[in-house]
Amino acid sequence: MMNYMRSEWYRITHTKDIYVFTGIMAAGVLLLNVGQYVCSAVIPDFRYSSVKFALSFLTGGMGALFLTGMILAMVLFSADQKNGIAKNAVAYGISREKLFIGKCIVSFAAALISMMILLVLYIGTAVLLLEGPAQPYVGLLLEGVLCNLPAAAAFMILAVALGQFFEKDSVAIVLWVAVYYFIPVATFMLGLEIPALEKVAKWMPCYYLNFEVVAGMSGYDCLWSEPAGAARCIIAGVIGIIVFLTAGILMNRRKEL
Amino acid sequence: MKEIIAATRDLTKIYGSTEALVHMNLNVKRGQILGLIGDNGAGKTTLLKMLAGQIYPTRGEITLFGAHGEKELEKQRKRIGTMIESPGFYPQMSVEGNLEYYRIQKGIPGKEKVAEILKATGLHEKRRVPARKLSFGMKQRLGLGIALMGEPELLLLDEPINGLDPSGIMEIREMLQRLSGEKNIAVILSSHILTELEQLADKYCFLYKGKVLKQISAEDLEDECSSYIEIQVSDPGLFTVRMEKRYPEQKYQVLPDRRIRILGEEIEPERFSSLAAENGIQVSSLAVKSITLEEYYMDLKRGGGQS
Repeated sequence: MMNYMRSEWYRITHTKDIYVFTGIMAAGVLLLNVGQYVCSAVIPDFRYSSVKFALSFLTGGMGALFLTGMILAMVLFSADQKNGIAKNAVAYGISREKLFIGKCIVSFAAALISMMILLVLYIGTAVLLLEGPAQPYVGLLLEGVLCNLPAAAAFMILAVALGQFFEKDSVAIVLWVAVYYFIPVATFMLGLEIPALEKVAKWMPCYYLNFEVVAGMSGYDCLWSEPAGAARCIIAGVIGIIVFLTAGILMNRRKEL
Repeated sequence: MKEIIAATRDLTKIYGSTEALVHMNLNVKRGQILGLIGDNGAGKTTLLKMLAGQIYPTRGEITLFGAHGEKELEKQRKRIGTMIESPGFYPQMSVEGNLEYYRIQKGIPGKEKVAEILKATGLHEKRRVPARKLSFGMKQRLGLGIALMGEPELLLLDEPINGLDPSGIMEIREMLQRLSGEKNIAVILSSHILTELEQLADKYCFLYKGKVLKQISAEDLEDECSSYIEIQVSDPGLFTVRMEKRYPEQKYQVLPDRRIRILGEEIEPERFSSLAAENGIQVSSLAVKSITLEEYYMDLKRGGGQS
């Protein structure tokens, strides 16, 4: 599996995909912060040119981590089946399980590096260009990223599993959205009648990130500010990793290529 | 006696109600080149994909290098090179990049291996070109290069010379002959270009609609195909009765249009023209011919057994 991961790492670093992806995301981040800076310079009494407001986008929308993770997994591995790469790897003695786990590790490593670059750019430009104190907003954002990293990894694993199983990326993406969004919403709705399901819904990232995190000009109220909330994020993520990893292995172990 | 490195026993693959391959028993020895012959849907690719572990058999067993069972086969597949259906590579990566990717994946030390493969496949000048920009024939060469990476002991090749120009076909043929002869690599390959297979294979497996029609060594095939007499007579029934009576050991096939193919070595046409004349059978034509691989396959397909 190490050789497979090394070959994938070679491929990822020698093709444009990861650079284009990170570049586009970086352009978006710069546009956001530089846009606010420019607005503050040309619009009198522009209220939104602050670190607090700039960082609230990601702090209050941690789901973006999950979504970009899924997109990156698709970008990195969508061509595998179409181009016969997976077939070759299996023919050379790499089991489907190792192939799947290897892809998960490599894509997570690539995503982590890409994310760190983007975070440095996002926080750095906000602190350098925008007004107001950096703390506690930078701290809350970084804590949020750390606490939600296991769940982001879990949903990236889900994206890799679906991408490896379904030949069409569109099917994989629709199912990913269903698992990330529609299942928690349905569980929550049913939870209004069945209390046990409400408890389950509270452990789903889509639920707690939407209902238990607030970040904006009016203030920050983050689930992970309290140890119990942070623990819930981390435990939910770890459970997600176990569930999606197991599902991915079971789905792909007998897959015909 | 050469070691058997790939074998199947009662290998069967069924998709729903379609029998893609049934009861396949096969032995491939070290250094042997096995040619798979069959129409589209005959089961050639299905067999190769099962050997490569890309699809699972419905029934039966595969043995590679003496090992069987899923986990053991996985280990043994590191000794295999494949190009099945289409060459697998990343289109946006350069030719050299693709080879380097597989070199790392197969755990082969030394970057010089990539240069060796580039030279062997005639892709050296195209090494920096993105794979997507290669011509069809060049892509086939890249696929072969990937298959050859790591000095495999068994090559599984599905239509490897498809799309190659005549000199490319010759180069690939020579390369496969060299690998088989010098390095004792076994090759299982399918091709629609039977004249090419004829020059390469030392064993043939004829497949039709998922069933094995016949397996035969090149020597035996040569014997069967060496030469024959094709005679067209007014009454084939009477002719064959008389022939069986006079020459009981004589092999023959009855063909459409009142034609009879008389097989065997050193057969004298005069014997059969006399036989016809003696029995009042009119001979419309008589010629000494030899059977091509295509004709042999077509005969097998038609169910033309030999008596």
